[in-house]
Amino acid sequence: MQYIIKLKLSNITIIVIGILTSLIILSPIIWIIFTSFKNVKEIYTIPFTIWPKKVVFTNYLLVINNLPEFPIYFFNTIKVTFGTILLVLPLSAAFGYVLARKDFYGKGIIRSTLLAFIAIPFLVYLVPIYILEDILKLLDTNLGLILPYTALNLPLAIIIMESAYKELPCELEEAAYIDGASSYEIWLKVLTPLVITSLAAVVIFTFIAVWEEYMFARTLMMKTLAQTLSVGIPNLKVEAKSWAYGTLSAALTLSLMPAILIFVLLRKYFVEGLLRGSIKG
Amino acid sequence: MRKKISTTFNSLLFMFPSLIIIGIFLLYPLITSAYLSFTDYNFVYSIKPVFTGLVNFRSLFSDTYFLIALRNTINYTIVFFPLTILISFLLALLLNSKTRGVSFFQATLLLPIVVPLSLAGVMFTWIFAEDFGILNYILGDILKLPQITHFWLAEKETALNSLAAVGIWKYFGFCVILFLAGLKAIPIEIYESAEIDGANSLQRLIYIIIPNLRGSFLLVGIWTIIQAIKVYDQVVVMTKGGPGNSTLVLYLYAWKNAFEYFEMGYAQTVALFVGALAFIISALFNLFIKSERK
Repeated sequence: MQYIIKLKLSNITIIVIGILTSLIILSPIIWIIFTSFKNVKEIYTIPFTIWPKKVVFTNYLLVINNLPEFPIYFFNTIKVTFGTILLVLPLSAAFGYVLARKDFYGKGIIRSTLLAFIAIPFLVYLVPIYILEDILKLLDTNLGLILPYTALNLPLAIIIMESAYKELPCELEEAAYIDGASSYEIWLKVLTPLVITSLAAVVIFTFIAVWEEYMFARTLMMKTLAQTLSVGIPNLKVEAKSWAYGTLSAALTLSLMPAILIFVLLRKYFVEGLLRGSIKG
Repeated sequence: MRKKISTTFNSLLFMFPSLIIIGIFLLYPLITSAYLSFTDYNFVYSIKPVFTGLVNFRSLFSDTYFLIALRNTINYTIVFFPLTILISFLLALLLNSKTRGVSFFQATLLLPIVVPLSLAGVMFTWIFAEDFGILNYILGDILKLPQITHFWLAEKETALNSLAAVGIWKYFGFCVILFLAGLKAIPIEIYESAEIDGANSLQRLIYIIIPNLRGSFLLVGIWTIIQAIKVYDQVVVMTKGGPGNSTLVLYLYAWKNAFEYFEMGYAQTVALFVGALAFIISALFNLFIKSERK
């Protein structure tokens, strides 16, 4: 009996601490979201209110009507993110498969090079890639971000896929081989359906890495036309254009929502994906 | 032998597109990067890089700004590293239970990971603002402690720590998840036998949990140190290295050399220094993990 009471009490403590820390963590985001529904006068009135006195949508209308950059940033981010994922996913699966299952010349060297690439910080590549893209005329284009992002995220994705294919039993492949399937068919139809969780992990960590990338995006994309949200929104502050908290909070809320929604829907996969991606330096 | 040649050819088809992209955007830049660091190359005035040998590397340690950047990065690490580990470890201990709702808390702790650091920077610039910033409002008007309000980002003493706070906010939830994975891997029998032996919570923590979490501590520790070395996004958004270079960090200094002064050669030397630092730390970590598994 005593034991049960003790247990219950500790459960309540855990829940209280959980709620408190969650509130602390979420408070900046909640603050931004609530503010975006206040009218401008209320935002600049002390004492501050938490919940808007009257919910208004003027800030959102201002973003939509007076901020032509916003949709540009938004769709650039979407294009670059999905472009990169669409490249990384099949390429890493194909590469990971042969690395796990085939015995070929140069395998050892390829594998250690990939591991070395994982450990090298992105900063090292920045200047050379800038010079390269200047020559290739890739600066200020979506492709100019998609290609380096793909290259930067591929090594880790390949290593994750390699370990996924390695875990599968060899018999599957042998049976399919006897039935006359080619390596391509074995890879795509027999083995890949069994590594879906790892593919999801690759999608998740690539998504996070690209969605939030700032340094390359800022350096390689100088024109508004090509910029992404992570670069464009902070620039609004510099241009003093909408560094009014009302519009800014609405723009921030709109920029954060897609990623937060995806996170809430797929949070199980996020934990898995991040754990597998944690070897990246 | 013949079979291996044909397998090699076959495998090459699978790897070909990746090898092309990695070759052009990683391998080639890495080689140029090594070469550039031995040259004097101003992107605006020079026609092409001029080989100068070790000049860049020698000037590195007599360059006041480089030393400031190194010191600031170390100071950032000194705040960011222990606090992130301590907070995330304590929270992981508390959340390591089967209580309903715990998985929900884990998810909220992880949420900042999908908030781009640069946007977090915008959010926190506002929170730290002198006027209409909520932090000073809470400290001054609600808690009635006006003596601890600051111009957080404009004062040399508080700017770097404010940036570290943003970094902790963004990353500690992820570290909680890493610790929780480690805690779940401890076999339950060990706890049970400790209970039979009459170990109290503190003894269990010191003699069972901490020694069994060596791997997790290493992983989280190395990961946080590397995140600290790489600090850049929120610095650019919130302080741009100021006030008075008090938040000039290594990444920012390399970037400024390249894209403000256009000294590509010297910038690359700084970048390689940072890269080597992070690389050595990760490599040591991988060695540790390997010896641990054996």
